[in-house]
Amino acid sequence: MASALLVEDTALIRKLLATVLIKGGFQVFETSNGEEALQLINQTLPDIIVCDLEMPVMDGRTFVKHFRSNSAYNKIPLVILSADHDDSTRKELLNIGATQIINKGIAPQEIVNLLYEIIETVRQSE
Amino acid sequence: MSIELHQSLAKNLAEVEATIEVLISLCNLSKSSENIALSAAIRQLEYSSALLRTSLISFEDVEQQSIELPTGLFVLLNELQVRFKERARQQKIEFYIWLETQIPKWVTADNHLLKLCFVNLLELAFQATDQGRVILRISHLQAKEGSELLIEVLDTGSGINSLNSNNIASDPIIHRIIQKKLGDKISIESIAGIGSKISVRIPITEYSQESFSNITVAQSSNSIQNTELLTKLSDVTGTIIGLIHSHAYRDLIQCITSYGSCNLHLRQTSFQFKEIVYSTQADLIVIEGFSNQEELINLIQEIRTRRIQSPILLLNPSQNKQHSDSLIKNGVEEIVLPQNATSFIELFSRYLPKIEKPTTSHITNSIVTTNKESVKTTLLEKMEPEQAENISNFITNLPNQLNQLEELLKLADTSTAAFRANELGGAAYMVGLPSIGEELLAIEKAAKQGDKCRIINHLLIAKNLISGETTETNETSLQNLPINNDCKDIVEVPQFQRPAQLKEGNLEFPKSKRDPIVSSVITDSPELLPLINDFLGGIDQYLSKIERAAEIKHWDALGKSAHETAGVAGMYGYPALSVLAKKLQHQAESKNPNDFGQIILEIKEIIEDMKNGWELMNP
Repeated sequence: MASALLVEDTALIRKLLATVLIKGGFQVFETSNGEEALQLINQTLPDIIVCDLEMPVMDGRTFVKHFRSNSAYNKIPLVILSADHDDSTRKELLNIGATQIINKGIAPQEIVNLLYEIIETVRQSE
Repeated sequence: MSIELHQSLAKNLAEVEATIEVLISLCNLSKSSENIALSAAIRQLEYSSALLRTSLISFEDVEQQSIELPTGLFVLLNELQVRFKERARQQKIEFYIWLETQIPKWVTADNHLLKLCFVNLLELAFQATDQGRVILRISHLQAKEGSELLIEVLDTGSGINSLNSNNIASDPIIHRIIQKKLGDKISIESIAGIGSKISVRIPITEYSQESFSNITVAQSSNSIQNTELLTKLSDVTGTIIGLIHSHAYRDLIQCITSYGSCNLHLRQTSFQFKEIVYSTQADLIVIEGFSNQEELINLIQEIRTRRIQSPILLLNPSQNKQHSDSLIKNGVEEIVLPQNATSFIELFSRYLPKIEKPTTSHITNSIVTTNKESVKTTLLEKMEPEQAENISNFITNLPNQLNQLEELLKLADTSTAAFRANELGGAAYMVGLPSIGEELLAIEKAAKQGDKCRIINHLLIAKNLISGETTETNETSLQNLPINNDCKDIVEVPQFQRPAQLKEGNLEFPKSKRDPIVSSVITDSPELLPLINDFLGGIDQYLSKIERAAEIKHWDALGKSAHETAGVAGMYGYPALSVLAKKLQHQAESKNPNDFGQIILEIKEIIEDMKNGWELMNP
C-alpha cells in the first residue's frame, strides 16, 4: 500500500483529500503546516507528499526548501497543491524541488491517478 | 427615561440651540480667519444637538412602549429570521415564520417582552428538534379581556415530557419576566416523539382607525397630529435606500416611512450600503453621518459612475457653501437637515412617486379579465364605503393568502390547508367572487384527498383569476408539493402572475432566477456527497470572512480569505466560485481594489446558486 503525507492547513480540503486518497488505496498521514510535516516525515517516510502552498507557521515554499535540503529524502516525490499560480511561480517551485504542481480545481479521482503515476515514474527511474 | 427627565433634557437642548444661534451670529459678525475653527466647532455642535433632538424623539417612543404592528413586528421578525435561519441550517432542520393576515396595524405592545418571548420559545424548540422543522406562527385573538397576540411555536422535535413542561414555565428556559408578565397564559401541547406546540398570549392594545393620527411620531413639542401630512406620506410609494449612521435617525425614518407603503433599506456601513444600492432600484437615496468630505464625494461619484440616477439626499448640518456646492456638483440632489418628522415627511413626499390608490371600481376592473371567465365583485358597487373597503382589502390580500396556502401544501400540512381553503373559498363567495370561491373549495377537496394534480390545477386557476395577467409560471414549484400523488397528465393550465417584489419586512424575498449550481465532484465521486454537504453548510462562514475583511478594508485578510475560498471551492467542484474568489484575491493583493464590491456581490449570487443546487444533489 502506498502512503501519502498531506500538508494542508484548510481542514475541509485535508478531509476531502484524505477521503479520496484512502478510497484510492493510500495510507494517509495528515498535518496542517510545513514545520509539523518535517517532523512527521522521519516517522512516516511516505511514498509521496502533497503540500499546500499558502500555510501558516511554515508555508509550502519554505517546506520544499527544507525538505530538499536533506538528501535522504531526495527520492520522495513532492506535489504542490495551489489554488492560484502563474508560470513564474510554477518554475520557481519546480526549481526548488517540487515534482509537480497541481491546481486545486482538479477532480478528486484525477489526483489519485496522478499520484500513482508520479510514484510509479519515480520507482522506475530508480 | 422618566417623563420629567425627558422634559428637562428637552429644555436644556433648547438652551443649547439658542446658544448656538448666538454663536453663529457672533461668528458671522467677525471676519477673522481664526473663525474657521470656531465655525467648525459650531457646526459640530449643531449636528450633535440635531442628533440629540432626534434621540429624544425616539426615547419618547420607547417611553410609551408602543410599537407599530405589523411594521414593528416585521423588523423584529426579520431579526429573528436571520438568527434562527442560521441555527436551522446548522441543525439541518427547516425554519418558517408564519404571519396571519388579521394582525391589527396599530397597537401598543411591549416590544422587549415580544422579543424575549420569541427568542426563548424558539431557543427551546430548536433545542428539542433534531429533525423536521420549527414553525413560528403569529396570529391575532380577540379575547374577552381584549386583544391578544397569539404566538405559537410548533416543532417536530422529541416532544416535551410533563417534567420538562413544568420547567418551561420557570427559569431558566422561559425567562422570569415573561412568566411574570404573562401569568398563566402559556400552554404546552406535546406528544413524545411527534413534536410540541407552545402557545403564549401577549396582550396588545389596539388603536382604532380614528386614533391613527394621534400616534406620536414626532418630537415632544411637535407631535404630528396633522392628518393631512400623514395622508401625504401614505400617498407615496417607492424604495428608499439609506446610509444612516445615527440610530435616532434610523428609528425616526423607519417610523415615518411605516405610514406609507415604501420599501426601506437602511444600512450603517458604506459596504452594506453600496451592496444594496447596486442591486436594488432606489427611488430615493439618503445619506447621513459622513464626517469625511472626501470619502463622501468618492462614494457619491462611485454611485453616479454606475449610472444610478436616483436622487441623493444628504442629511448634513454643514453650512459651508463650498462643500455644499462641491457635493451638489458631484451628484447630490439636496443637502438638508430635517429637524423633525414633519420635515422628513415633506421631504419624502416630494421625492417619492405617488401611489395610485385603487378605488372600488379599479378593484372591480383589475380582476375582471381572465382567460377563463370574467369575475366581478357585484356587491362592491352597492356597498357602503366601509364595507367596500373591507372587501377591497380581502381581494388585495388574496394573492398572499394563496401563497400561504401553497406554503402549507408544501409543508404537507394538508388538513390545515384544506381548512384554510374552505375559509377563503367561503369568504370569496361572500364577497361576490364565486369563480375564485369555486376553485378554493376544489383545492380544499383535493387537499383532503391528497390529489396533487388537482391541487396544482386549481391553485393555478385561482391565481390566474386573481391576477388576470400572464407573465410567469410557477408550475415547477407547485409540482414539488410533498404529496404522494404523481401528476402525469397535467392539463394545460392558465399561467399566473407572481406577486410583485415584497417589502423587506415581509420576510420573503424573491428567489434567485439563476440556475442552481451542482458540484462537479459529485458526478465522479458521489460518495463525497456528505463532505460536499458539510462544505455547503459552512459556506456562509467564508462569505462572512470576506465581507468582514472588505468592510474594514483589511486587504491582507481579504486576500487570505479569498485565497482560502478559491482553494476550497476548487477542490469541492465549484470552479465558478473559485475563479471569482481568485479575482477578489488579486484585487485585494493590489492593495487598492476598484471593484471588489461587485465581485463580492457576484460571489454572493454564486453561493446562493450553490445552495439552491443542494436540493438537486440531495433529492
